[in-house]
Amino acid sequence: MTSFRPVLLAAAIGALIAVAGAATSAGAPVEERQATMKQVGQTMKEASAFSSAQTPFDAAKVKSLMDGVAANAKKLHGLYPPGSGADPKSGAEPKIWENKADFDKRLTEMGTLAAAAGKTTSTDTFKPAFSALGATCKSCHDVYRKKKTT
Amino acid sequence: MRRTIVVLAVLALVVVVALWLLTAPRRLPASEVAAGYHPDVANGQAMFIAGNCSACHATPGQDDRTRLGGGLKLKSPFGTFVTPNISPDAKAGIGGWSELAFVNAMKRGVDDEGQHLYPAFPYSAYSLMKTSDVRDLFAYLKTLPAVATPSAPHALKFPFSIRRSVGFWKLLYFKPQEFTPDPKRSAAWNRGAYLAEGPAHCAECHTPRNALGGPELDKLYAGAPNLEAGGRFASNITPHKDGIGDWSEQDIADFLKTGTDKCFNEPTGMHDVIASTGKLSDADLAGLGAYIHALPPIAGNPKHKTC
Repeated sequence: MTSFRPVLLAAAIGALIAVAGAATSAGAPVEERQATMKQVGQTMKEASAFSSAQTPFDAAKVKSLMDGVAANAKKLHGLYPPGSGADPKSGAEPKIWENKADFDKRLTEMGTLAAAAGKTTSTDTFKPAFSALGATCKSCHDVYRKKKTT
Repeated sequence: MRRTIVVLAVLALVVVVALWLLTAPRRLPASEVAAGYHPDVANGQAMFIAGNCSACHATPGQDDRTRLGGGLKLKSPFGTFVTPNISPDAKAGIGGWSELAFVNAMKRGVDDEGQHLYPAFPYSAYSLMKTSDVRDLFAYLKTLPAVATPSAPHALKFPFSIRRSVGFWKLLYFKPQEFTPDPKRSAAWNRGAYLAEGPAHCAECHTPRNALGGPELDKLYAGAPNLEAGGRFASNITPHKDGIGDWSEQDIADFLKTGTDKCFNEPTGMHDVIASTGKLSDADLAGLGAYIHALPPIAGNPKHKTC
């Protein structure tokens, strides 16, 4: 019986963390998705130095940046719960929830393309992979991001 | 005692007359538009694009950027400005205006009846334009569709509701002067400087203003809250670390062409601007990139860090 204790304790702590995590993302999905988008933007900006050859290619760095984008794409899937477009601070178009399957498909594509860009080994191969990824940002924003948030 | 009153009355009269004269609208002479000029309509269109006249003057709620019926409401701290009809309609628009009247509106902020125009119309910037560019623009505007909707009046607060009050603003902040190129800089930089400071009037949104609506020149391009209620913050576009310090000239040109910034965002506040700058020639975009990239770096509001 005593040997179960640490396991139970770990499970309890794990459950607590999960609940706390769910509470933050359920409590403030708008803020969290905006922060995540911002992070993606910053990462993309950093990575753009490699695609424009401003900085010599560094495969490990590029991989970590692109894996970061892929992880955030995965995270974004959970940050658009139904009803979260009603927040006046949200720049999300209500169309997201009308076409949730398409929206999710685009996020999946974003993750796939980011992971693929992370596996490239030179500026020449990174550049097209990175611009394909960038194109998904724009095409999705064009449809699902409000043009004006006032 | 009686003498003091007389002296005071005379002094008051002198002050009133002096103020009246000082705040009078000043116009350019007819010689500014010498006869025999053949306007270049294509250049006029380039000026129209650079100036993004459509952003304010195209009638809201329709997609045609050349139907300049006005009617956009600008809710400022001074009251609500309603953009006028500048289509070539003879009655509702500026179809009846002389070329000189148009040049005076653009370069001196005075309308065809000799009254001050409110500086919500950015003539501080336009005064830098070459008169030939303004004449070309006028010729281009004449080719656009006439819109018969009359202009609506502004709804401004006192004392701004009195047009003459613009004279005081002009005394303080309006120093009309044509653009002079800097021979020490490249041709691209000079073209960019002319476009940014003149027709494109970038500083109008990106430089903060004081309570009287005058620009804070020590914060030139360092970002500013939108004067319109609820409008978005205009970013710091100087090469400072909370501005666009790590953007290249090409990044700036690319952004103005595509609307996608270095962080792969499409800032919504620039949406209407990109609709216009996206149509500029590559040479003009490169010029804007060169000029903006070389601005002196100035700290802005770190809460509104640009991309």
